[in-house]
Amino acid sequence: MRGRRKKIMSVVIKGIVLAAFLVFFLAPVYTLVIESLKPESQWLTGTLFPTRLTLSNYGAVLHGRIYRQVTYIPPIMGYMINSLIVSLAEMVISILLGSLAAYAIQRYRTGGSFLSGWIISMMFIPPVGVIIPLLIYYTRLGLYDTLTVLIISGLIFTLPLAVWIMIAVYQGIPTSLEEAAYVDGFGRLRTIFRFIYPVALYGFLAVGILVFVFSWNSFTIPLVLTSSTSAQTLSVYISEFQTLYGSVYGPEAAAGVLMSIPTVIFVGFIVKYLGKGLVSGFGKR
Amino acid sequence: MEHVTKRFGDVFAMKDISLKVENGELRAIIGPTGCGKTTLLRTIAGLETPTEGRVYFDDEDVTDYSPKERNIAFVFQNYALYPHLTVFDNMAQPLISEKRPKDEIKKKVEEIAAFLNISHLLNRKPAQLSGGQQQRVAIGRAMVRSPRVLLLDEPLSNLDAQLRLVLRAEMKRLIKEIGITSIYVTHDQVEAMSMADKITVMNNGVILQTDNPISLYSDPINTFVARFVGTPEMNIIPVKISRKGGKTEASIDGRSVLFNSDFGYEGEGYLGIRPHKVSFGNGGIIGKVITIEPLGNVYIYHVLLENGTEVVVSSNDIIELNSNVQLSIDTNNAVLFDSSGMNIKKRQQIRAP
Repeated sequence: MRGRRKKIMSVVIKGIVLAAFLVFFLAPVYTLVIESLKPESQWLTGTLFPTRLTLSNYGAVLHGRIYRQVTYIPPIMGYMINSLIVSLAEMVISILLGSLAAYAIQRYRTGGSFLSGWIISMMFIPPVGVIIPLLIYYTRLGLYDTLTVLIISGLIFTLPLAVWIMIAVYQGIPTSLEEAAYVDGFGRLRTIFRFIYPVALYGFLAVGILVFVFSWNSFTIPLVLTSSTSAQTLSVYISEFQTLYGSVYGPEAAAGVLMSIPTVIFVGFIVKYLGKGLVSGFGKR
Repeated sequence: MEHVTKRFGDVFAMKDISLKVENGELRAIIGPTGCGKTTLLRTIAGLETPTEGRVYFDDEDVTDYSPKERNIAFVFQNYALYPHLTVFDNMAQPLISEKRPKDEIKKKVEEIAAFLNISHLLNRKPAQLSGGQQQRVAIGRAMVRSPRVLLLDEPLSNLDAQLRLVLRAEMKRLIKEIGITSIYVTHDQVEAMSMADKITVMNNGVILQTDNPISLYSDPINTFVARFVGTPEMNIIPVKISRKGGKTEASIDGRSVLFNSDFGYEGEGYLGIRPHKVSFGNGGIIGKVITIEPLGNVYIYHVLLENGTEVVVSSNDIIELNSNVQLSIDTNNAVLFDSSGMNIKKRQQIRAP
């Protein structure tokens, strides 16, 4: 009997702890979604269970709308396209350059410990710390307020991240794979493209997703280096609800939900692919 | 290969190694972990460049050739199959790299697959194969191109013991049927003994002895080889060696064992004897049984001599634990080593000419 009671108690305690964690992590998500669905009359009430739900906030951010005669909310699409272009470009460039750089560093010790150390240090630089010099350079170069400048400055942070993770990806691939290819008669370049890249593919996908999300969420760089709708990204768009438009909570929440969608989808992918063994089929090692 | 030395920084992996393998021979290279045997194999393959020395295939100097130019095949310890390709594509790669026509590749791969009994696996990926099947695919990939030399780096060590025994015999048959010159690296001396025409024993980057399995077993060049080859390992008993008018006497605990020839050596030394060549009887060497390992077909007795040496005896006699016994040694099957561990008979042969 005592053992049974103990078992029940342990299940109950586990349940309570898990529920507490879930509430802690999911409450903000719930609040965001609920705020985005509230009609204007309930924006400032703070209620978590509104009596009426509406999609009109989404209409406002998608098409643009004027609130209180003076506050114009511009449509989200242009910002979203900017964000997509910048993030996809960073993702593709990081994979292309990162995979080659990481290969050289991991397999041929290119640059020794200096280069790899320097690469980690790049990941630790706070963007705010270097943004003023960047602003000065890019303005002189005539690149201020362009998508190009966002891609270049984003890569300063995402490329080292990509290289760093890909070094780990290559570490997981035994060198005997290349040696087998050399013995089978392939040169170095063909070996990389025929045998190493396909095996590292899942690693590349994971890196690409990380870079995409990192770039998608980046805020400081686009905030400082852009000033018009031609280059501003989603994160800047949302921040302007606080700084320019003020207390237009429903559309702000709707924009937040829309911005979160790609990251949620990608996190699903990451969980699926990162769990996969990179080099299954190698026997025991 | 001649006078090959390989250094990694200050560490010598191989010191002045010279090795000759005949056409069509199946040579095994054995030695403990880190003795340089894998480095030797990789140097033959062209995956390592020797610090000094040259490598020849027949009379052709291939030292500066890449693995590709050497036309060799290498079976890796982990097989190194291409995980993203099917078995067919794995085996086809060496031919694809030579840009052979598609139908020729298909014919050749199917022929080799049939020979290896893996035709039914051609559409699978390596991850869907058992260890033994992966190993066969690795050999298949090595075979499709009729290479000059087949190099195998511990090809059976990733398999479980049972499968290893089956594949050992199968691989020997396969390699002999193809008739290709092969060099086989292993740390398992039983594997080497059962498969090879000749065995080379290495330790600390040097070759100790090259011989056929039987000579290696019965007449090892030194105590290291004596211990390394054969299970249970050879007994090495400290003795005093003296010359007695055309004969040689070895004395253990004051009891003498007589050899029928004069090896020209006197002084401290060792007597080496295989456990199954020691028998219980009236040999006069007194000891006490301290451990018994019943193996079913035979008993392995550990006998402690008066001088503190432990002698392993493999026998069908039934003896009780802790009983005092007398051992006799068959001198026709014993080997004498000098104080440095060198076989004194071989030492004499080296000096004679």
